Amino acid sequence: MMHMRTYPALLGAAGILFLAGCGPNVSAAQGVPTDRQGVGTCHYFRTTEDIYDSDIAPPVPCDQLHRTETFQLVTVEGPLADSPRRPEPEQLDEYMKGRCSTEVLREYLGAGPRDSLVFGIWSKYPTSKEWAAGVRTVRCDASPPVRDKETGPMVDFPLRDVMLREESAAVRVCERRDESVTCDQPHDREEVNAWLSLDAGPYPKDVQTPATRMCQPFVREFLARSKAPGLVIKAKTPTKKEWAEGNRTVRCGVGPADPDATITGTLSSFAEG
Amino acid sequence: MIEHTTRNALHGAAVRLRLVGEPSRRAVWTAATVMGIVWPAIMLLRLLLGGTVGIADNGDGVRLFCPLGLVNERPWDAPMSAHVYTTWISEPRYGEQCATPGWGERYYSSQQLVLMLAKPLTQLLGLPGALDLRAVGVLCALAFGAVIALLVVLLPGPLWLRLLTSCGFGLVMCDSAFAVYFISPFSEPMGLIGLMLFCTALLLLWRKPTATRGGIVLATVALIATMTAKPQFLGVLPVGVLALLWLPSVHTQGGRAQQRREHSRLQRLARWLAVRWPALIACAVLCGVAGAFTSVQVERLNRQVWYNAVFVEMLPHSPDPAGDLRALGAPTELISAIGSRLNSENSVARTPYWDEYIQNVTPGKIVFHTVTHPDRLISMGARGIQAMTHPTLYNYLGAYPPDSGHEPYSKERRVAVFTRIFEFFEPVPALIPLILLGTLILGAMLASRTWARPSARAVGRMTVCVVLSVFGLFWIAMLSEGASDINKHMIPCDYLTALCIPLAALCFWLLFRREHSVNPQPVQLGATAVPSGRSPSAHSAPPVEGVSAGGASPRLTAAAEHRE
Repeated sequence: MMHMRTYPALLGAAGILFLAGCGPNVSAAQGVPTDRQGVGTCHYFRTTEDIYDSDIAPPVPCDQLHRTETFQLVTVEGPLADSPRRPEPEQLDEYMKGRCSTEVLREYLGAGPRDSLVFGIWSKYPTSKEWAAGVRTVRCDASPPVRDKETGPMVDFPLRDVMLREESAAVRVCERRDESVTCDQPHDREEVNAWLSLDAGPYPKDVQTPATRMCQPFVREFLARSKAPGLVIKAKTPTKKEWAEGNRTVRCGVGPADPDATITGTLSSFAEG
Repeated sequence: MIEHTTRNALHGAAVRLRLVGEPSRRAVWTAATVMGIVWPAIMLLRLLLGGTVGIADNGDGVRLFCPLGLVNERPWDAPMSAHVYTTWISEPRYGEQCATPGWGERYYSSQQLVLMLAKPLTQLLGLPGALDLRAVGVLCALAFGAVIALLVVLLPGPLWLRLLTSCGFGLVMCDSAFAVYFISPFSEPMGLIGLMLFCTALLLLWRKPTATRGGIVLATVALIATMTAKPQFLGVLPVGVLALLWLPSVHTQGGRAQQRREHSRLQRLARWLAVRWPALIACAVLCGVAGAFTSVQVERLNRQVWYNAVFVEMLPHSPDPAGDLRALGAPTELISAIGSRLNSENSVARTPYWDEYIQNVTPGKIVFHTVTHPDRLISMGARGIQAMTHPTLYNYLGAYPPDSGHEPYSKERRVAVFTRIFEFFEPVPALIPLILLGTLILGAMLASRTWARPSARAVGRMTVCVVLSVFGLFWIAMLSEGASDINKHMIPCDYLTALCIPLAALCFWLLFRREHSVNPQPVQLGATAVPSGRSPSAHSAPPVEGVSAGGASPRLTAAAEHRE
């Protein structure tokens, strides 16, 4: 015969097991399939974790806050596509290397040859269910540079042809006292897309002069239609230590001659349409 | 004379407080209630007083909280492991956002039950968000208090001994190495509380000469809660099965005379099984739950675990990595991936060898290769024991919220008795296995003493089970992930090893102060209450324990003991 004190224990246990049976059961909300989220769709991600791997959250209108915009669709082909189960993310990453093309992105953004881009590129794979159903479409998303570290990459305008518009200042990269900022904030140097190489040999006594000379045509092209006065070429050159390590790269830039002066907005001639 | 008077006065006070002598049922329940209130209060004070203390996320929180529709509220650029972000908000989740990243399978843990209960409690306490980790901390503290209260009821001996032992348990849980998990996005709280409940359930299980059914049920529930917290806790399954089958759970009829008549081995086995049928059902349930839990483990996580076993544990510590790869059936070209993780840039998964690797290198092969090289096993064990000396995880996960004013990754060490003990062992980590061995011996000695009453022997058996559980948890962690995140994986082992300290002291006391281990005798004035030598009553007519037998007055018992 069961002892009287067994009953409370049995009751407690049954309660816990009942709870265990219930379990958390929050089902995922209805999403939009990967292959129906085409080029030009905009996406908002709540957390940093959400930006990785697959995404079937409904797109948001591009004039609302969003973190990425789809600029290209790629179809997985070859032996990897034959796998009935979705391959490991690393295998897909390897496959996608270079397939989400920076050239396609430049074209999508309407970037001129001297426009410097610091966009993140994300491959969004089909979900495992979609893959099993035969979907092999991978979304290529671009995320703009971070304006505010606390909120992360975020814009409230479409990125298609953005570099042709003045609002592109919010997604262009500038510097203020060597700290990276977006160009819609006060800055003293704007990056020009021209990465050049100095001649090999001993570290030049005056490294700035040849660097400035090399940058000149590119900066001129960048400023072609700009009428801002008092601008100088601000080339970034390797330090003596970097030189010893084999670094000969010159990064071109432009900014006000007065070291204390700042500019807000972009100097790019391409941004004026 | 003065000394004698003082001793008498102290003893008189102890008697009035019912601390000495066999306690009455009322005294036990009062003490249990007090302890069940005091320890959660201490825990909450140490977690919340002067600012919240917890442990930051390392990425595991997403898979645990997301199935409840929750996301962590923190700035985009905030490194999740630097500070504790206590607020989780409701957010619609789509597709695989709630699944393990990159795979799409859902993660299950018994800790999610605590989170379910913490959601309404968050609203009730007026905390921000849909779920606040502080509400989880409150629930865990209450559960911890309930276990401590139960421990007071089920421990043998006088009240002071019960209080002291349960305070030892309480202090372990309140230690900086373990308490911080109560306010964390991890599965550990359910595992740690479950382990303590399992220990307590064992005392109920062996309270009588045969295993009690209440004990079987409680131990089963505790084990289910523990094992399903996270896969590492499956290491307690063999110990759970051993504990449940240790004693018959049905009163035997016929006794030894009948056993002598059963000549064949089959007859004896049938009888052995027959007297354990309730425990066998419990074991079947446990194995079923363990099997089901294993089968729903996320494949991607399993791959990460076994990948780490090879490329983070085995190869970097091997004298012949190429030979190991050959033995595992993997191409030797993969030697370039030594030290990599599955998602590293030099991961095997990024090479054309991946399919061949995954097909040939199975978990069975990895474990077999390790256990068949005893030198590897020894060095692996040494690394694990060394890792046990750092339960605070170095500077890996912060303990304070971002607005606390503490530096990122700062640790909290306000209650760090056991942390300091483990750190003291750092120069000589071999002391840890020695402590475990000593505890095992003391537990086995007490368990085997026929003169001891069942509840005292239960302490011995429970101690043995605790040490064996350390063994199980240790090797399941080392043989799977090994050196990867080793300090965190050693936390359950540290916890049980810390419990060994009060348990070893209790076993020692019960072994050498027999008056607290033998059955209480009905006491009359002028008679001695403390029997000497073996007690014939250990296996006869089991008394109701935890309270004084029959109508014997605790005051009277204590007085008799004083005379002895």
